[in-house]
Amino acid sequence: MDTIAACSGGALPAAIGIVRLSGPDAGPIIEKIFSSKDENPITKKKTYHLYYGKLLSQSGKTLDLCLAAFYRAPHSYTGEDMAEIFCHGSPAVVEGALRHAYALGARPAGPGEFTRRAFLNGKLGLVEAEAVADMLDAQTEQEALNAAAQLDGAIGTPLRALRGELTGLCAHFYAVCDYPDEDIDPFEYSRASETLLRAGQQLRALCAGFERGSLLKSGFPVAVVGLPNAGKSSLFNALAGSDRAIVTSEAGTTRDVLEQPVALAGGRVLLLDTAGIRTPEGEAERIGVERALQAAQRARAALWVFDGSQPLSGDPEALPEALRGKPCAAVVSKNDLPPAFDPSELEDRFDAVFSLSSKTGEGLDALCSWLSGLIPPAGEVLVTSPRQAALLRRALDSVDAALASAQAGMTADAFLLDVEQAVRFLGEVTGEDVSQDVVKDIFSRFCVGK
Amino acid sequence: MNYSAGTYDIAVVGAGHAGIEAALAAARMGSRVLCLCTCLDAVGNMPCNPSIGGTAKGQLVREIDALGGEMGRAADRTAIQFRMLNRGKGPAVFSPRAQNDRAAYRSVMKSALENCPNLLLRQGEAAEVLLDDAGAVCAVRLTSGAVFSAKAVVLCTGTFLGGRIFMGDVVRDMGPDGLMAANELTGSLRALGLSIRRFKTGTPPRIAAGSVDLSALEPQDGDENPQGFSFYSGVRPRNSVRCYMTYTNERTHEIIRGALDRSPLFTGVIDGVGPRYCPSIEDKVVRFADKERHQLFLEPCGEHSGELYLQGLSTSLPEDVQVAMVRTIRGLEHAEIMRPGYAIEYDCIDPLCLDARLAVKAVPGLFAAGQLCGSSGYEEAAAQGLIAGINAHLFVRGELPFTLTRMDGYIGTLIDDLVTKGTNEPYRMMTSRSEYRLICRQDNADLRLMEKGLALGLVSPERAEKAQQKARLTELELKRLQKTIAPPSQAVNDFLASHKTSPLALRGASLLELLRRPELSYDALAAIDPGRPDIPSDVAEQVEIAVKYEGYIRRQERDIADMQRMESRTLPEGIDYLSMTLLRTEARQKLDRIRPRTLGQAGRISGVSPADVAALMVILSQMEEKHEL
Repeated sequence: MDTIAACSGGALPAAIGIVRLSGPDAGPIIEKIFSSKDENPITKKKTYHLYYGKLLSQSGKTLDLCLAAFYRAPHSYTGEDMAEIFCHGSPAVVEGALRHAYALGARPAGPGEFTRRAFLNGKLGLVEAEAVADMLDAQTEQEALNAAAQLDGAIGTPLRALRGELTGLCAHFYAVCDYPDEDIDPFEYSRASETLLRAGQQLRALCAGFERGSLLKSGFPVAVVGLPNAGKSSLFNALAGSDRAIVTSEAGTTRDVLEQPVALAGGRVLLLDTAGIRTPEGEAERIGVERALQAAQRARAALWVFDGSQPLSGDPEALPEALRGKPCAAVVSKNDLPPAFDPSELEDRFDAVFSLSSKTGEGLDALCSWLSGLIPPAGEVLVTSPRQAALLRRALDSVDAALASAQAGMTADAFLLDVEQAVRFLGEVTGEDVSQDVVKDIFSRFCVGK
Repeated sequence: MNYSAGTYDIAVVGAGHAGIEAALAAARMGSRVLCLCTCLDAVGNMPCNPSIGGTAKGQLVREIDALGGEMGRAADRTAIQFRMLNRGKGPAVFSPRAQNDRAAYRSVMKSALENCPNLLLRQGEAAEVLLDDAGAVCAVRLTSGAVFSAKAVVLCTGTFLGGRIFMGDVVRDMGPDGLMAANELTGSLRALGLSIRRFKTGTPPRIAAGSVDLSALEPQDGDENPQGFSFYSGVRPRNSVRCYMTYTNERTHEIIRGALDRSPLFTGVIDGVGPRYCPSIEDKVVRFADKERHQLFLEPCGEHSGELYLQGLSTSLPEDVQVAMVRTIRGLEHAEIMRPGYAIEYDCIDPLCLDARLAVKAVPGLFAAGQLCGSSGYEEAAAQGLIAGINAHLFVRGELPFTLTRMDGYIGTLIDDLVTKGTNEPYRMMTSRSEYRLICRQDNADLRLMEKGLALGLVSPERAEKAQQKARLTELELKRLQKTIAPPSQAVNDFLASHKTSPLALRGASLLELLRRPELSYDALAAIDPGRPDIPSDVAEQVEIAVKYEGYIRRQERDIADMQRMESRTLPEGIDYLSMTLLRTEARQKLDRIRPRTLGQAGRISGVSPADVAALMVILSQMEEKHEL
């Protein structure tokens, strides 16, 4: 293994810049880059402690005064010798430090390489490694909390226990078969069925959790619907804070469903901007309308947008079938213009009514807090990785198949093959047993060798 | 004084279960074979159980037979009781097992060797394997000074190599059953660069049958109409004896616990590693302290033998303790021990130095089989002997090797485990070790392997034709069952009701569909199958299993196809693993030492993680891109 180095803080300039080193030469390199105040090499000092000193450039000049720590293998994030420098977050300082490290034999780290090394060195299970990626992507507190719990083994640990229980079931049968002369407790089909039933329940709960977990990650889907030119796209843009939807005053401009995740206080919302629902005038628009209806299907709630500057027209009862019964708020837009009707007229037909201006932003906060309130609280730790969910689903199918076979009177030598398969799938989730497919997956995600 | 004693193609060292198969296979394929044994009265000896087969081992014996080995035939001929174990637990774990007459087995095996053309059975102790200037095997020297030239040597030294027995504090350098140990050869193997280890095993006391109160014990009889191990040999095993079951009790355990300070296993006198799954009684009492009793079997050592083998009471305790503990057991209150039990320690090699031919990778012409490779058990030894013997012959002829994969069956699995994963204790075959066990069953070993045996010249065309006939008849009967429709008639529905399964409504059902129902067996369906042809019972068995387990069998076939993809990615021979910095150090070292042939094998090496396999795949594809391969 060679030694890698990278800036591990965010974009520069920033208050603090972090330079991270990992590999067998992390020690010798940090000794040359960082000179601690008492001039004793940091590698001879306590591991996992911060020391104050000078950051040196390649030419030996002091780049910065900073803090640094050395972590001795195997007690580090990657499991290798590691060092971290906490300096001022100026591009010149950080790049100077990195240039010095490269000159001393380190090479720039690839994407995810610190985590990959942690995985290869057995410091993280696959579930935990994926949680790191989730953690980095987290935009809401809820997501971060979930990722942290996963990193702490909240999913990996019970899965390993479940896997152990299923492995035990197989082991018992083989013990009975392989030692016919020992009097081992007989393998009872009724008890095997009980174990399988319990495992099935546990897996079913985890799979259901993924659906909630993916909402957490992709956002709680909310359709933005309404008649053409009511101001849907402007609302969408105001909530999303960017100009993603094309906004013109010509009716029927939005022909595609745009999706935009929006981080709110309570979690993430996925806004689905839909083409105006009206009789389509062209092929492209017809497709747009169909897509809008499909988006409405996916949505868990809807915002029905009315143009407040125009008299109420059209029939708000014509809410798409797919949205009926889901929380639906009326948004009366353009309140920066003279009102053409009283928003409270809509109150008895909607769960909530908001009067706002996408242009000035007035009234947006109230809408945001209503949306936040819709997002279900996480409470338990949820599976968020589609890879894990797919494997859990397959493990569940295997357990169900085993149970069905057992109940149909199939012998254990056969239905335990299903159980063994479930054990393999669970092993792939946690990274304890990895098939060729996962191997490929590891490839692509970690860009090994590129 | 050394003298030139003759020239052979192959010298087989040892005539135990491994040596016999190696010598017979090589000679039958046409090599001139010398088979050495330290005592010609101990050819094919069973120093432990007077029994062949058992769980997973029965599968091995049937595979050996299907490839043209001798063990199955000899075991059928000398069987005094025959049982199919694990009946009712499913066809994948059915395992045939025979009690054998030890003396008869020895004599049958000795005469098989004596009557085999191209083969000389010779008493003598091998002392040294000699190499030519190129570093390849060229001869074997005996302690007598005889030097036999040979292009290949198959080592099957069993527990004789550096053998040392323990009975409490009585320790003797000797082999099993009072036979001499072989002490000189180990030095020669070390000089060849092989690393030598010490393993141990043990055996229980034999009891005088006349001193046992058999009336107090539960008898165990053989199966009615046993089929035997050997396919199409015309020999049916006989049931002429009974076994008996009894148990240890708290008093037995007290005596054992009180004597642990005199057991060499616990005092540290024995360095050898023993098998976890075949523990001595003192091991069992210590490790399973909460168990009130342990099951024991009394097995006759022969039809006319007065010795009963006390299965389950393997021990290294001193003789006086053995006498005392045996007499605490129900039925054995007045028992006399004829041969005390003992533990035996012996030299073996690390099987990671072998390839799938069971050839020592570093020494051309040197092969190894049996306990020397770290396995335990007669059947494991015989299976390896067969493969090593076949490959020694092919090596001498300069022909392509013959190897079996895990997908081919238990023999392939056994050898792959040994040479890929290695073992730190005596390795025993178990059904749980075979991942393809629903396909690799004892009942279809002929269908899986006889074709290969025929190609090797070890199976006669007549026997191979019978296996082909079985396959054909099975196919035909399956097709017939699919085409034969049972009508929704009163008679059919009465039949279904009598078997507690649902009636047919409007439409009829094929007999194949009905056979899928767990309530109906092939035999039972005869009642509504008037046109059923008269098919042999082994064909009916294939038909029934094929239908009942169709879904699972298909799945295993898919697994095998997946596996074959990994196995088809061969790894270049000279590849430099040590410089692959993407791999963890342990993986680099293991790969360098074992040098797997395929990516699949690489993945089975302990110490090579899935992540290492991933990295290896990257490196390989990078090398391919750069045309370095």
